[in-house]
Amino acid sequence: MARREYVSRHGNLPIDQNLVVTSLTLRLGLFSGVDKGLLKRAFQVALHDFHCYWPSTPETQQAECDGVYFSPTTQLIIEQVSASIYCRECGSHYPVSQQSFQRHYLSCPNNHRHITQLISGDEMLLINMQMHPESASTCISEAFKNNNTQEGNSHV
Amino acid sequence: MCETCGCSLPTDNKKSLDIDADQNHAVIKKIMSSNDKTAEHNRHKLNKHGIFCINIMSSPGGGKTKLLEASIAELKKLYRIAVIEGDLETENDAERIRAQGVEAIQITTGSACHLDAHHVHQALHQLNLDTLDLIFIENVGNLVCPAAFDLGQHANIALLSVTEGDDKPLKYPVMFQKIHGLVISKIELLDYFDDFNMERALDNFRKLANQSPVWPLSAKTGRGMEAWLDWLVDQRTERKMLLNPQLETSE
Ligand SMILES: Nc1nc2c(ncn2[C@@H]2O[C@H](COP(=O)(O)OP(=O)(O)OP(=O)(O)O)[C@@H](O)[C@H]2O)c(=O)[nH]1
Ligand SMILES: [Mg+2]
Ligand SMILES: [Zn+2]
Ligand SMILES: [Zn+2]
Repeated sequence: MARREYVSRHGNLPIDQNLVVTSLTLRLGLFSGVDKGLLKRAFQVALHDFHCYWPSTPETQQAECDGVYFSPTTQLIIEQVSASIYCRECGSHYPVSQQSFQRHYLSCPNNHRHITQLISGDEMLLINMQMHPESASTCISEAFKNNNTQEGNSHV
Repeated sequence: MCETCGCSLPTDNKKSLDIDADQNHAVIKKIMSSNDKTAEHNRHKLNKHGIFCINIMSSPGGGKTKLLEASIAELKKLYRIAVIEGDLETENDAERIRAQGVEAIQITTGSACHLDAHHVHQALHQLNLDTLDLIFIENVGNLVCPAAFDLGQHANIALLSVTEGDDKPLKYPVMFQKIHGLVISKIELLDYFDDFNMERALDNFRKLANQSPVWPLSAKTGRGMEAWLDWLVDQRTERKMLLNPQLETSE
């Protein structure tokens, strides 16, 4: 996907160039069910594992990750968006923020007996990728060889 | 330092430092798209065979397997049924279902905290769909994760047992918001367990903008089972009609 996006914008990407991702931006709705703090921690773990255990032969590199790599300092930016409800009885839409959810959940702010429906808020989207090409021969395979060891893994 | 791997090999500094707008790639990509695609595929497959499929969720021990046992005992007179079992640790639940004389597929993918569409896809391949009318999926006992994964089902049902407390809908709003029906289970225990207030539970559920039916029942004594079973039969008939209108009129 990353390669396809890159090519669609910059024309082409030579085979001997890897793509290096340095930042990802997600948009999460209030009702996505994803906890921002937990996701950030999980991302750090995944990033760590990626750098410690990714197969280091050129063939598997190509096959497994399509020449796309994550910088060890890849940033995960999370943009949280509020939800919205529609009240049939008032005939209007209302935004639902974290705070207003704590107060009256998804019921109508005017009257909690009104019948409402959830209109939006379950988004889970990737909205931006920061990436640049780097020559495949520079350092990746060397580094992966050196790092591909059980040592230094803090979470096994 | 090399930006790609954090090593200290000399590298092309100029390239890694010149971060400019050119490196930003605005996209709009659903993070769950791989799961959702498989879920759609599952749903399509089920529709093709005229099968109605229900995903059942609850906290551990909420009474999912018991409800299935009691429901199958009645429904097997009407329908050909199979169950996809998400109890990942043991075969116990699958064996309880098999004792009812229907097929149960045990999903064995380690100890995940939820099922995803790929699990269900594999299970569907192990069933002969031509010989089925109804499939139940018993999800892993968990009120959080299963909510995020579409499996390809036609309806989501959650159980809330009276021993769990009437505040649970508001504590797990994402799951309770999404369901198409709520079973309040083990109601015969209300006699001993008066902390649970049925009205409050209902009220909390409605605060989540969910107007779906609620069935207070006991799978143990059979009280309240009828309304739930009637709903199942209605849903299945409706779906069958939707998929194959001619068939229903000739039946
Ligand atoms: N008193 C009473 N007990 C029930 C009822 N339904 C289930 N139970 C009991 O509750 C316990 C858990 O029931 P299960 O059906 O195994 O619950 P489950 O949701 O399938 O559990 P997991 O699959 O482990 O998450 C068992 O001891 C059941 O006998 C009920 O209606 N009344
Ligand atoms: Mg069970
Ligand atoms: Zn209103
Ligand atoms: Zn999970």
